[in-house]
Amino acid sequence: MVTHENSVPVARLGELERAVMETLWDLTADWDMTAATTDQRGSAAPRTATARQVSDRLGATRPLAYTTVLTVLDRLERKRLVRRLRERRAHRYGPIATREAYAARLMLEALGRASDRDAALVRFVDAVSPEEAEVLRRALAEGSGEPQGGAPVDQEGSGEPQGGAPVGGVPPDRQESGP
Amino acid sequence: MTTVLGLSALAGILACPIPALLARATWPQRAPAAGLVLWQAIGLASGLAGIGAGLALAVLPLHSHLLPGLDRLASQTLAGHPLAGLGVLNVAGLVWAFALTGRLAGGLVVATIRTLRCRARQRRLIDLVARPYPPSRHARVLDHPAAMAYCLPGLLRPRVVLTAGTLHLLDDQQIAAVLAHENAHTRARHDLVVLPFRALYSALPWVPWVARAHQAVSMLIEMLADDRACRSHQRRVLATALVEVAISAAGVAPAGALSATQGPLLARVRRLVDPPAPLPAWLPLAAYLTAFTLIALPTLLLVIPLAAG
Repeated sequence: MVTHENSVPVARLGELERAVMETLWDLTADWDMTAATTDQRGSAAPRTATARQVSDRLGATRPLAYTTVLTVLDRLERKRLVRRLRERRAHRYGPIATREAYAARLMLEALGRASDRDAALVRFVDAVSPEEAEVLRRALAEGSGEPQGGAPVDQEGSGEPQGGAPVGGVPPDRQESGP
Repeated sequence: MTTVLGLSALAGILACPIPALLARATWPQRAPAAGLVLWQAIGLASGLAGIGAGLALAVLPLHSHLLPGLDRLASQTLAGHPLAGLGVLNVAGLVWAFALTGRLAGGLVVATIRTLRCRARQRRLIDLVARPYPPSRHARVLDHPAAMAYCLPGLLRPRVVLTAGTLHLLDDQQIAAVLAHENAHTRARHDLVVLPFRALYSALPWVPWVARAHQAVSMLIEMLADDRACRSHQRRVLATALVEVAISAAGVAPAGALSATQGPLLARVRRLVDPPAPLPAWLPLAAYLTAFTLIALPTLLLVIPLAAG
């Protein structure tokens, strides 16, 4: 599980994919703005960037070999997250969808009907209608009559603010050792 | 014959009055773990009884007991004449047993594959789009204005997803309580408890008790996670977070997904703000004993040859 193509650890590869994707989104967002202001001449180009541009932009925060960036872009293309366009000698890369679109899709899947059909995710709560909201608010207010247990006003004193609560049961720390 | 009748009777009881009673009972809300075990036992026992009754009926002309009967059926199948000596009723029993087994096993396989695939795809997207949330190792923040929290359980890399809207809506204590709730899910693998019921539901949606069981189990795992979170967080804090998120999420959810959730959610909020008196110790114990009996009964009926032929 440790070695992979170019011997970049898998865990790190995932993180790199995120970094490259972020950069690509940022770059293409910039392009969009300039394209809007300087008339639409390069009609095909605006939403793409070259691997070199990605590498340069990334280099500001984390120095990465150019070939690594190429590898990651390649993987992203195979995962259908990025599309590659040929332009003269250079390849240009562009995200298939915006970050917001992915976030919106994830949200719809999390809340929507589709998730009722399989056990892929477990929701904290389901959404409620306005009438139900009223009933819930009342239920919440009803209980406030008698303060139970500890001191309800003391907001700082009790409870860990991090929720990283002591780990027991299934050890998630085996993560690095692989299946 | 006794085996057939016994198993059919058991399947009947398990299919009708027992789930209805359990679904209506309120004690499982006070002891969610015992309730879950009982539901699991009902599911397993009715499957065993249903399939066993069909098989026992099928081999009735061959032998009065199930196991030797099956043995004879197997050997005559190998010899090339599987249905020799079986009447229409017996063949019907055989078909029933095979159909039910296929449907249940197939449903479970399909549901498992679909769930794993969907989860893997979601996790890939999450890791790509959402940013880490340093206070909790598996938590990620999704940049979306609506409040929502959910978890993607998994052996190696579970994910707890909070939206930016959630962080905006809730205070630090509430967020910590939500994380504790979700971490309880991923740590105890509550999803594995729900999965068979979800599979059962998609395999036999027309069986009334199956829908009921699925609903009850989904609610009970939430209560279990609520209880776990309340060991380190105030009940009222969690209850408030529940209500706030549910109301806020209503802005994004498609209308169809809205109703039919009030019951479970209201029950959760009520038991958080106004915790019911603890159950007498014998009740969960009785539930576990019943669960054991429910599974033992069809197993014994199948394995032990009954005296009366």
